[in-house]
Amino acid sequence: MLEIGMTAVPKTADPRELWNFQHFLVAQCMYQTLVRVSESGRLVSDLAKRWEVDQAGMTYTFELNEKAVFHDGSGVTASDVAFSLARHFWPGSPSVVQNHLKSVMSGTDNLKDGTLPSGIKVLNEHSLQLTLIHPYPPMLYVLAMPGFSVVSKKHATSPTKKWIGSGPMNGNFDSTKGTWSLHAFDRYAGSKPKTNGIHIRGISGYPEIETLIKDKALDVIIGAPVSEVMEAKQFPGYNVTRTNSLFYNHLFYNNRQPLFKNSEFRRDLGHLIQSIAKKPASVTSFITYEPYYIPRGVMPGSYYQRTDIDITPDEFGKKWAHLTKGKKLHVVVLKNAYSQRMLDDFEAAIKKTGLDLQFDRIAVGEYFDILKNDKYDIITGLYVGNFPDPDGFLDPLMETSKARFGVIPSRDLFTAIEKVRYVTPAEKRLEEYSRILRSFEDNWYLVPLYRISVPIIHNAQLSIPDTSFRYEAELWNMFWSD
Amino acid sequence: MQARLKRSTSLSTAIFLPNFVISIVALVALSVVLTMVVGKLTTNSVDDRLQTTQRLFLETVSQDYLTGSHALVYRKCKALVSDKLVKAVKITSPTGQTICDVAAEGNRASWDWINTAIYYDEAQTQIAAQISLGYSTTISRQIFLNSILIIIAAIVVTALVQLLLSRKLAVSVAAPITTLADALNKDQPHESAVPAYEGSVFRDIREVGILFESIQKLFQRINEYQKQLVTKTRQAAVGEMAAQVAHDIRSPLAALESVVADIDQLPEEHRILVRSATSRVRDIANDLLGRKRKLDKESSGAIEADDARAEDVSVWLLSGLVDSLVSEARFQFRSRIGIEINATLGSGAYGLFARVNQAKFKAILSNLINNSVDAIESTGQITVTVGPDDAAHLLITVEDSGKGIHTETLPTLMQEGKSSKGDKGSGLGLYGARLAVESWGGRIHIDSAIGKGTTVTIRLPRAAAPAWFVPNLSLSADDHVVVLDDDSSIHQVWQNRFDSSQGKVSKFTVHHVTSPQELDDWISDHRPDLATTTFLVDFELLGYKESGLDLIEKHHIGERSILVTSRNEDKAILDRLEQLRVRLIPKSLAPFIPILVTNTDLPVANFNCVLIDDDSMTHKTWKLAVKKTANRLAYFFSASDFLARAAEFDRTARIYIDSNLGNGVRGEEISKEIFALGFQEIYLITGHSQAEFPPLPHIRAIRGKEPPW
Repeated sequence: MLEIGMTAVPKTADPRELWNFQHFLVAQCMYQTLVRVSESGRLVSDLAKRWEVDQAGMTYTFELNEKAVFHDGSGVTASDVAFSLARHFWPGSPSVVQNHLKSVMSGTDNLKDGTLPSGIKVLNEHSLQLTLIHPYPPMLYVLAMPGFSVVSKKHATSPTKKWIGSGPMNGNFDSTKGTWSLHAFDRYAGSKPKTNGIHIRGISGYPEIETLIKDKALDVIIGAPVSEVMEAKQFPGYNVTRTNSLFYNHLFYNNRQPLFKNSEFRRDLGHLIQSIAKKPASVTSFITYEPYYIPRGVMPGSYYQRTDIDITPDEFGKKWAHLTKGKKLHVVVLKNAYSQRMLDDFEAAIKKTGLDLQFDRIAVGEYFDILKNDKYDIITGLYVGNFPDPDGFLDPLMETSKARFGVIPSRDLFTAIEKVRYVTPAEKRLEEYSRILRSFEDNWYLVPLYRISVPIIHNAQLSIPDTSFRYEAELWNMFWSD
Repeated sequence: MQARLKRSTSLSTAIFLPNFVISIVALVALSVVLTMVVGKLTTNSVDDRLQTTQRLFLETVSQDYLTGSHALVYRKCKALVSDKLVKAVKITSPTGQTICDVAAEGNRASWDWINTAIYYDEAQTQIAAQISLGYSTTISRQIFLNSILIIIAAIVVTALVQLLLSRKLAVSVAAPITTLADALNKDQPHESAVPAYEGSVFRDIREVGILFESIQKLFQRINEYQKQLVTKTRQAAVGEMAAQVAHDIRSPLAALESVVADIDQLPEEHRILVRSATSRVRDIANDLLGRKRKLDKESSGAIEADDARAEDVSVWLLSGLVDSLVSEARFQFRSRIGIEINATLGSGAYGLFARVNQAKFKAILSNLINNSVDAIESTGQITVTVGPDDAAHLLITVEDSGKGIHTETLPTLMQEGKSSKGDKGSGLGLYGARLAVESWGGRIHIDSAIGKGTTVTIRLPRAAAPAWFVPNLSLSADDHVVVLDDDSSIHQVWQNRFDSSQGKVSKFTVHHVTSPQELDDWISDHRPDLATTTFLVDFELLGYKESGLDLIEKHHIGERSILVTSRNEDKAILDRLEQLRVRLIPKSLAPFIPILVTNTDLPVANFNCVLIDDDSMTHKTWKLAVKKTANRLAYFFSASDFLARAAEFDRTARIYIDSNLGNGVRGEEISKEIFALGFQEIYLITGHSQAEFPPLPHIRAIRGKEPPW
């Protein structure tokens, strides 16, 4: 049994309600998707044993693996898949991944509860067809997102409403303890899991992590804070794997506030914040200064060619004194998502500008309330790209997104994106995306700052999958070394 | 040999041909290996490249294909072909749908194909598409052919270089060696045969240059040695001839001298003339022998050896040394017609030995003779005498009739730096002679009178005769004497000696043999008589490989044999004599050796006188004297001989016994034994004064050595 500690343990098994990358790691154990991304980064079959894409690139026909069975022993059918995908578009869906499909799949708008969009057609028990509005090359990567996990329609629609999957492990949530127990499913259609069982428990952060490691109570810790505190820690008997992830940490303006209606003010404040954030003392080996909305490795090189402009607090204060006079700036940041030095410098710099400052360093638990209630002027925005494509990072910018970081005037952005989303070849498409995103970022609705490397603290004897450029570190593929 | 040489290969060919052939064979073998390796590497390289291309292409298009980006797949296929990485690409779905089918121009049938697939699953069980890559082997063939061309070019260039190098090496090594071989191959190397080479050998190969120079030097040395050899061969031939002539002369000379000794009938002047003539002949013979010895010493390096032994002192028969020395002097001064040099040896000198250094003794004597010659202005005589002084000493005198030495000069002559020749002499001669003689236990004395001449007397202690010495030939009736000599005149000498010594009572038999075969025959016919036979054997037997000593050794007759030879100074022969227990008579002394005959037919009781003396001269003197009386005298050379037969004598017989019987035997002591046997009339004879003897009660009287009659 593998003992895993997480800072964000899912409290439900409903794939539609999962939003954090840690939730998705648990979902990967319990569910299958039509296709998945292998450890080597290749798109491979999962529930669908084969598929075909028509010449136009708009029709995807999947043939399911007849051997795939849910944990209750019943076979996985095309109807289960259609149900699992369609429910993301039903009214009131909390799905944070729905937007990835909604704009490309036919008939997703105004879909009635319990119905299938026209873009999803069950051909027979083991075949279904997805039809897109436009050809969309990342389609299969979107379908590989754990948010689109396939559940048993029968159990999901039963009065008891159970979430039964067909993944490599069968999971049970102990709501009183807030823990998950996962056990290898011996009828799993794919390759067998490398561990027989996983026990997941929630952890708060330091100093609990240190105590647990000292007691050797955990084999793996995911979601540990990335501040310099993390870097300073010593974990005898444990290794720290730093994932080269698609995780960004930017600051978002509350663009509804009058103060931020002035784009030049937003820009200058952005430069001021960046000039603080890029100081060597502000970064750690887990926090890399990357003043781009999309982390390095996804976009063409031209996208990342920027010229930093340094503005001192004094300069800023003098320039914008007329605007800031008597104004109070409410900044909300997730503590431990930054280095303490950076936060201290940031607080001091803002005060130096003459602005009244309310600087709140909050825990994750408070974050969504603050965000939901617009109780901030500037707020932390942490997001993990779902796949190495700009589309994987756009959801937080959508006004309709469940994962948006405040109000961001992005309508023009997505209008422009829609025009180039299906451009071929891919390089051309990315160049268009780069141009559009650069133009959008020049509006300074947000201040791009960092890429975060997710630390995975694990027993030195434990082998973990490659996590480069992916948030997945498939838990069921962790195993003990000889 | 020459025929075989003609069939053999020249050195330059031997160097060049194998070198070149082996190099070419090695190059060809290397080329074959290189061709195979290049072929294999080319094939592997092309295969690797194709496989890499295939893997990369698969990786590139698989995701595009799986995500339905068929247009992208097609574009990548086209790029692959247009980049000439492959000739053709074909991708088909499992349903037979062709995603792309791109090919370059050319004959598809001549292309090879690699097939691979895109899979849906990780386990690679579900094929998503088939990919076929067509490629032409022309590329690898072209690479291979290019490589072969390069290899062939390399071989040709290398072969040419090898050809030049081999040729150069062959010329550099072969030319000088061939020159040497030609020079060596000449039958008669001579001065002009020293090889010469004008090539650049010394610049080319150091070792060959050294070899060439060394052989040149060798040739020069051979030429020098050859010249020396010719000279020495001639000298040796002359020496051999001289020795042979000397040998041939000596035998008849001995006969002549034997006769001359008794020619009383000739007038005095005739006797002198005959003696002078025989002396002259003997001088010539000695000179020839001296030249031979000198040559032998030069060839064997014995000169240095003699010098090294200058301090060696040993026992020498002085009459032999004096005889040869006087002979040499006579020959040396033969141009001084007015000077007569004589050696007076006689029977008294026979058996006189002294311990001297031979070389130094000769030098002293030669120096004395030279002094005497210098002292004679025109005519005169020089006489060298060897004779007994007393029982323990002998005297050598060199007497000349020269101008004499002043009385005042005489006492200083033996001093260092003084000379009788005034300023002409170094003064080292007599001083050195004195030191040498004194070191031998002797003394040197000079008497001189102005106008009369000078006499130098050397007195030396007598030494016991060596084992090989024969004091006399003691023969009895019924004895046999076998004379082996290749010269009939020696036979005649011995026969005359024996005839004169036997008288009427003698019955011993003399046999003459002239060759080893005759000796063999005689011995085989007279084996029972060997115990009573005395062999007189010549050392050198002309025309026979075996020497007299070889024959003596062969027949085991050493104790019964006497070697009669002129080589009595030859150390090697003397050593061998000792080994074989053979005795020796110098050939020049053959006329003087006493022959003692014991007449056993006559009852010993008839002898009323007995002489016991080791001196043959005394015997001879007494023999002549007794003939004139009625006495009958029996002769014995040793006391032991007499004692062996003493019982047969009448006790009234008078016994005359020498005081000094040689070898430390004293007559006064022996006479006590004789007295004890009952003999009353015992007389001790001596050359010394009677006063020197203590009272001897058993002796009737002590008297001189002259006959009592």
